[in-house]
Amino acid sequence: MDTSDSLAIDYEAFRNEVRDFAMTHCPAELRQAVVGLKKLGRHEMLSWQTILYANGWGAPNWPKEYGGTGWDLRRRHIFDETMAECDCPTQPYQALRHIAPVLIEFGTHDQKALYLPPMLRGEVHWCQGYSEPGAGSDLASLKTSAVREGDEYVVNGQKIWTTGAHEADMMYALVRTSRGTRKQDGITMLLIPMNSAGLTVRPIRTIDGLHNVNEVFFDNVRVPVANRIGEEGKAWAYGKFLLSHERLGGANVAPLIRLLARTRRMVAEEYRDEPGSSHYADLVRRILHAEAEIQGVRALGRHAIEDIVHKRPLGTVSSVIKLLSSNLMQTLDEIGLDAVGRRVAGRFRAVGDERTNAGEQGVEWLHNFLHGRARTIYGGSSEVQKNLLAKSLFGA
Amino acid sequence: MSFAAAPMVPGDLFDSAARFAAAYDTRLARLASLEERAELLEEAWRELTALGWPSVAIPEAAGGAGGGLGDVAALVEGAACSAAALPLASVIGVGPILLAGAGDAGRPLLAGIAAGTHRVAAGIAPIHTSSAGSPMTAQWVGDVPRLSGGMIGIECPPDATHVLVGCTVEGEAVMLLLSSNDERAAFRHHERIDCRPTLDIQFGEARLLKGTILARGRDVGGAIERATQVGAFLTCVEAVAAMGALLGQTIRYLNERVQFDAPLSTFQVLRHKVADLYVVYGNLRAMVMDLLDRIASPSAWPERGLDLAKLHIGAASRRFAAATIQLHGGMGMTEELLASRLAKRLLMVEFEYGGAAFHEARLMARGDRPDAAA
Ligand SMILES: Cc1cc2nc3c(=O)[nH]c(=O)nc-3n(C[C@H](O)[C@H](O)[C@H](O)COP(=O)(O)OP(=O)(O)OC[C@H]3O[C@@H](n4cnc5c(N)ncnc54)[C@H](O)[C@@H]3O)c2cc1C
Repeated sequence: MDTSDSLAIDYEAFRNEVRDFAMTHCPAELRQAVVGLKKLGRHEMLSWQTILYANGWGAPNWPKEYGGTGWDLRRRHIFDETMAECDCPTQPYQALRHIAPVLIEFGTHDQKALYLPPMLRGEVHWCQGYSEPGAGSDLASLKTSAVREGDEYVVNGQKIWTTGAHEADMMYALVRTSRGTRKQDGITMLLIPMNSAGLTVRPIRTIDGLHNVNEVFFDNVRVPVANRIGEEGKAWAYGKFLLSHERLGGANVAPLIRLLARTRRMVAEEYRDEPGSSHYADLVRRILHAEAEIQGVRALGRHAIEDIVHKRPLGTVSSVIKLLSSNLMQTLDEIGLDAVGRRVAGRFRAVGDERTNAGEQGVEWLHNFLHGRARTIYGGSSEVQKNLLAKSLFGA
Repeated sequence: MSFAAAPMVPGDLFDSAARFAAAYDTRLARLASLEERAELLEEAWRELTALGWPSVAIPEAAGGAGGGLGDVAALVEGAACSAAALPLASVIGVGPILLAGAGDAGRPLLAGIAAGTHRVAAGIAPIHTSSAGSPMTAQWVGDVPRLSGGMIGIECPPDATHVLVGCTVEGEAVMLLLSSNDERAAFRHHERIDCRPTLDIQFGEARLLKGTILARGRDVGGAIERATQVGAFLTCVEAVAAMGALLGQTIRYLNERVQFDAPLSTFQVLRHKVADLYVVYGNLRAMVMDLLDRIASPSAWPERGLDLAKLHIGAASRRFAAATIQLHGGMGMTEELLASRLAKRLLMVEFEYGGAAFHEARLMARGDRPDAAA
């Protein structure tokens, strides 16, 4: 995973190089959108990906032979942190970080050749079709079926909460091809073009007023067997592989640090004319408490990276980091809500202007607060993370 | 038998408001566009006007039903069980109390409200003026008030005919009445987080508002103060009603939702979370019922108790909302569930009729000490 010459690498110089690049190449309007907590869609994400690709940085987490940077873990971490500090958009993570590592490990030569280069170039947008109405925390109980007919699978069923399905070209989906004694058996991974006949996307209206997630219905959708990743019925193991591969995904505390800085700036601006108010003092105090906690989680992330680099066991630290960082994000979201709420809570949507990202200045902090409730739900809910922790702590 | 919240103000008014609001909520939840929702709210307002709700708290002499705050509380509580996106408390509760401060001058308007010909939004300067942005300021030019800046987030009945503004001009309490198409002001409409319609009024740099004074002086000051307190109280009533309904919805959901081959309600950690919510609810419900009793007797108006209640209930409501969204998982994030709409209603509570900082400042300003009697 890590290059043996990591001692010879000047990480500070690398950090500066990334920062210089971000500041000179990331378009001002994109950074502005990130600073303004605007919803970024396909276009924004892919256009930034194209720029990174042109610099050879399309895939920080891929090996060189597939067009990745081949960086060691420390450099990947510095890259993520610095990009976030510079307010650059996140890269299309579902493609680059979720499905690509699985493709690289388990895909055929043809599949890699077909799917990886367009991901790198920022030409194809992917979504993740795992969750179903009956399969959330208990993902293994998924029911969407794929029945083999010749060299095709016929897919029927439904996915839910599919982020970005309405803008995606491709979905990597978990489907059931058989029923075994364990429900984790018989699950298969398929790559499904979103323009397939019989596939319908229905938006889900969420409390934040934004359109991010969808239901996806499959009515006899025919998917070539060539679009199957790895073996039939073995996809649960691929999911586990991904988890171990990205087990420190949550160690990237850069978004947290970025949100802290932004919250501090916004609160100072919002209370410019009332610096002596007790409400302002209260908000500042809460920001300081959050910052104190963030110091810890940041250090935890760094220690965990060193543990991986030195091949020491990680234990449950990824659950600890996920719990801490999702809670801290929500703490900052709430400070944001309290800062602007008195001015904009009563003016959430403007009549006569229903555009996304429109509305009163500051309303994005309300969107952020509402959207942020999901941070403790997706990616392994807080309760599920605590179950994992407790199991490890009690030894059963 | 699992939990079902018992009303604080049981009776016909509660029942009919609960039924009415539930029916409209189901229809409203299906509509995504603001225009369509506004049309449906208009229909709802017409229907509730026909039922006589706007006249409930208006004296009989002015053509109203002559009811008290308890009647308003019953309606508001019933409607809040379905997170009604209607500005009931502010229009049928706060508005008439504010207008009462105008004495005879307010009579025709009260009569219009009772008859259903007038729909009045009630703005109160300290509540609906944000210190950030362009706060409203007012001066006298002779006998005419000159207003600058504006007021924001005033709850507004569908197709309002008038806006009542309670404010102070150079230290004197004044009640202004503007027609909703007065060209001296700019009006903007929004939906709040919980989808209720609101109104902003902008007066711009300095606007002379000739012919808008309905009343001025001490009685008006008293009415503004009373209206603020009643607004805070009715917000507490709504919050507790929404919590009770949300608790019921959450328990039902956890009983029905199966993950890992078992209903979620069998997981001890979730049971405890629900038990924690029930404790919060029980405490706040008792507090509001006690305030309701004290409000009914004019000699014991619980001024400090109301400030304390509103000081506390905003944060409690938000925690309640966050916990129930979490308990619903992804479903908690959708507009489709009544539970999520109730949670959004609860998120608004902190920002209505003064947040914690506002009520804390009032308590402090009265020289209140933590050890003083409530
Ligand atoms: C905004 C958003 C975006 C998403 N994007 C995607 C996507 O792109 N692709 C995709 O496939 N999925 C996506 N998801 C789905 C996400 O993975 C699920 O929401 C998550 O797995 C939780 O499942 P659930 O919503 O069904 O909640 P449930 O599993 O029903 O959980 C409900 C509650 O019960 C708790 N709970 C569940 N099991 C236990 C237990 N054993 N012990 C204690 N408590 C428990 C949960 O923590 C939660 O509080 C997204 C979700 C959201 C909200």
